[in-house]
Amino acid sequence: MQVATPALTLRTNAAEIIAHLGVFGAYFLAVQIGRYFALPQTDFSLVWPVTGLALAVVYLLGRRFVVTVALAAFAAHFVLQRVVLAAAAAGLGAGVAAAVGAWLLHRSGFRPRIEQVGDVLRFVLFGALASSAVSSLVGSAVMYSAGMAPWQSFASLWWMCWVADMMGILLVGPVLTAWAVDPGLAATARLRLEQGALLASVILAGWVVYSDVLPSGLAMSKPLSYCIFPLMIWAAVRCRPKEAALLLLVYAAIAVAYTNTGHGPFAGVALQEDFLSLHAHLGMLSLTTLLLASAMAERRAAEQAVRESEAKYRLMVENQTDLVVKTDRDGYVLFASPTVGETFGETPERLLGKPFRLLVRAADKDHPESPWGRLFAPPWCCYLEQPVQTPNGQRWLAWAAKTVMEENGEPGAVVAVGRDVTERRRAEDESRQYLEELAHVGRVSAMGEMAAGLAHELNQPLCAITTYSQACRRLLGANVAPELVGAMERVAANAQRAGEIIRHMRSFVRKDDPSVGPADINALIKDVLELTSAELRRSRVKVEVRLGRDLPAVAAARIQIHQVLVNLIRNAVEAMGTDAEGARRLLISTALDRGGGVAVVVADTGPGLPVGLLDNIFEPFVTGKTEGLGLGLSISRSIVENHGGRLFAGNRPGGGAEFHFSLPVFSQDQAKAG
Amino acid sequence: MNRAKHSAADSPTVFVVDDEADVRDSVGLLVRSAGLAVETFATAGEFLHVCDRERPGCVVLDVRMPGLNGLAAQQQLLKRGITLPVIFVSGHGDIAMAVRAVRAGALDFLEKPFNDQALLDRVHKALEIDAENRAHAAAEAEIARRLQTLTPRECEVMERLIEG
Repeated sequence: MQVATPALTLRTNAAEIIAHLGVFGAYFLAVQIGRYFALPQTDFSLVWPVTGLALAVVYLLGRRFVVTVALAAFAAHFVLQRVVLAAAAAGLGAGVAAAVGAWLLHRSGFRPRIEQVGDVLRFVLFGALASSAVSSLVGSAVMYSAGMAPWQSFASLWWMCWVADMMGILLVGPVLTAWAVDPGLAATARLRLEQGALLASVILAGWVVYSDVLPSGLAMSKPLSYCIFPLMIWAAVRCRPKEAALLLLVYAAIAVAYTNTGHGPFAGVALQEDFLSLHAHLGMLSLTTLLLASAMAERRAAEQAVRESEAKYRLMVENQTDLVVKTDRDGYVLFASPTVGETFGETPERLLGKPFRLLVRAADKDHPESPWGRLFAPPWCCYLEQPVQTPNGQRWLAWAAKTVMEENGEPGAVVAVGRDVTERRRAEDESRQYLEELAHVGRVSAMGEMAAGLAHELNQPLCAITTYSQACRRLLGANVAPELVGAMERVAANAQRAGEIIRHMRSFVRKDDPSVGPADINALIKDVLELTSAELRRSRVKVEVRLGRDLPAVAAARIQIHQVLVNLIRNAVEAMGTDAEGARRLLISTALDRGGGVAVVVADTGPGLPVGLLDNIFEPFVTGKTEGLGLGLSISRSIVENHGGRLFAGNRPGGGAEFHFSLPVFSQDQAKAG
Repeated sequence: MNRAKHSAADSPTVFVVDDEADVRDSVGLLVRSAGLAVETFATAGEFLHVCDRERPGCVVLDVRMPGLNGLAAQQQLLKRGITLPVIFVSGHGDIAMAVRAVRAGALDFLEKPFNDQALLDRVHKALEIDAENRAHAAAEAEIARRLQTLTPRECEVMERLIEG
C-alpha cells in the first residue's frame, strides 16, 4: 500500500498536540450540529457534516489522525447514547471511512485545490461516494447486529445514512481541503468586493427561498429554489472553486436549517422525504457549481499558460539582436521583429504586407541557382548571405530561412532569421586579400630564390668554361692557329657574358626590398595565427603561444616576416600531418635574444628533421617533403638574413623540429637609413 | 698530385681548393699555362692536411664548399702559423663575405667567372708577397742564428756597441 504524503505538515510537537485536540473538539462540535437534524426518536441524523470533517482531516494531516477521528467519534456517541457498543461502532465506521477515503484520494492523484475538473470527479467518486458508503455501511451494520434497529428497514436506513454522509462530505470536504492548502483571499480589492456581494446575494436568496417570508400566493413554491443557479453560475465563472464551495456550504446551511424547522419549498411532507429531496437539489447544485468552477479555473490556468508562453516568445523575438521575419507563401511579410525595423529604418508595422524580397533584394526566387528556391522544395530551408542597402549604408545579412509545413503537408509560411555579418565579411575579405598578397610576395620571393639558385648552379660550369678556354688560348700561344685563338677568346667572352647576365638577374631580383619599419613581433605572430587559423583548425593542431613581455620593437618588413612565419608554421603543420591525434602541437615563443635582438622559436611535435638534412635544409631545392620546390626555408633564411638576423634549425630533445630566428631591434639610425 | 716534383723548398706552388672538379681543373690548367707549379684539392680538409709552413706559394680558395668552407680554412691556416697569401673565389657576389675575408688577411676576392689575366695578376702578386715574407723571415732567422754563434764575451761587446 502506498504511503500517502499528507497535504499539510506539522512542524513541532506542540502543533501536533494542538492539532489532535482541535480535531477532537471540532469533531465533537460537528456531531452536535448533526444531531440537531436527527429523525425524531432515533439516532439517525439526516445531515452529517462530521464525515466531511473526518475525511478532510485524515486527507490533510495524515493517517495518524485516523485514531483521533475514531476516538472522537467514540467519545461523542458515548456521551450521547451511553452505549459502549454503539459508540464503538460509530468510532470504527468513522475511522475506516476516513482512512479509505483519504487513501483513495491520494492514490487517485487528487489535488486539494480542486482547480481541475478531474479533481472534482475524483472527490465525488472516491470521497463522497466511496468513503460515505463505507462509513454508513459499517455504522449501520454494527448497530443492526447489536439489535438497536429492526433488520427489515436496514436497506432504507443505510441509504438514508449514506445520503447524509455523502452530503456532509460533498459540502464540507472541498471547503476544508481547498482553504487549508490555500487560505488566501482574492487578489484584488475589486474581486473581494464582488465576492462579498455574491455572499450577500446567496444569503439573501437562501432566506427568501427557504424562510417562507414571501406570501404563499407569491412564493411559487419549488421552482423558486432554482433561483440559486444563476448566482452559483456567477460564482463559478468569477470565483475560484474554493470560494464557490464556501458559498455552496453557506447556502446549504441556510436551506437545511429552514427545512429542518418545516420551512421552505422542500418542507411539508415528512422530515425524511423533505431532506431527501433537499439533498437531491443541493447535490445537483454542488456538482454543477464545482464542475463549472473547476472547468473555469482550468481554462484560466490554460489562458495564463498561453499568455506566459506568448510573453516568453515575444520577449525572445523582440529582444534578440537577430532579425526575425515571417512571410506568407508568396513572400509578403506577416511579422517582423523590431530589429528588422531598426535595420531597414522602418517601423515593423509598416513592413507588414510588403514583399520581403523588396527588403532583401534577393536573388530571384525562380532562378534555379537561387538558394531561395530551396525553400519551396525539399529540404524546405535555405541559407544565404547577401548585401542589402540600409539607411546605414550597405550591410551584409546572413539569412537562414525555413518553410513551415501546414497540417495538410503543403508548404505554408516562411520563417527567416537574419543576422548582420558585415563585420565578419569585412574581416574575412581583409584576411583573404592579405593572404593573396602574401601569396604574391611568396611567388616573387620564390622566383628570386630560384633565380639565385640557378645562378649559383650555372655559375660553376660557366666559370669552368671561361677558365678552360682562357687557359687553352694561353697554351696555344699567340702565333699558332690564330683562328683557334680567336674562337677560344670568343668562347671565354661569351661565357663571361652569360655570367654577367646571371649576375644582373640576381641583383635585379634582390632589388625587391620592402620598407623596413618598427614592428611588434608578438603582433606579427598573432596576425599570422589569425591568418592560418582555418588551416590549423582543419589539421587539428593545438597552438601553444608563449610571448615575451615588453619586447622592444624589431626592424622588420611586416609582410616578409609574415611570410617567414607562415612558411615555418605551414612546415610544422605538414610535418605533423601523419601524427597521432593528441600529439599535434605547435609551439611559438618569443624572448629577448642574447645578442640584443628578439628571438622567435617555432617548434612542432612532428617527427623532426632527418639528420642528413640538418646541414643543408636551407639550400634551395632541398626538401624533406614529397611535394614542393624546397624554396620556403631558403626564402625564409634570405629574408631573415636581409633583415640582419639569423635563421637556423634543430631537433627538439623531446622530438619534433624547431626553427629559431632572430631579428634586430629597431633603432632610429635604421629609420634614417630606411 | 705531382707533389714530389715541386717539393724543393725554393719553388713556389699555387694551391687550388674548389669542390667543383671542372673549376678546379680549369684553374689548375690556367695557372700551369702561366708556367707555375699547381696542386689541386677538392676539400679544404685535404689541403690543410698537405700544406706546411715551409712550402712557399699561395692559395686560390673557394668560399662555399661542403664541410669546411673557405673562410673557416683561412682561420685554420692562421691558427697554424701558415702565412700563405689567400685569394678567394666565389660564385656568390657576397659583399659582406668579401669584407670579412679581406679583413682576416685575404689578398683579394674574385667573383666567378673571372678574367684569366685578373686571376694570374693576383697569383703573381701573391707569390711575390710570399717570397718577400719568406726572405724577411729567413733574414731574421739568420740574424738569430748568428747571434747564437757569439761567445758570451762577444755578446757583451755587441750589447755595448748597440748602446753606443
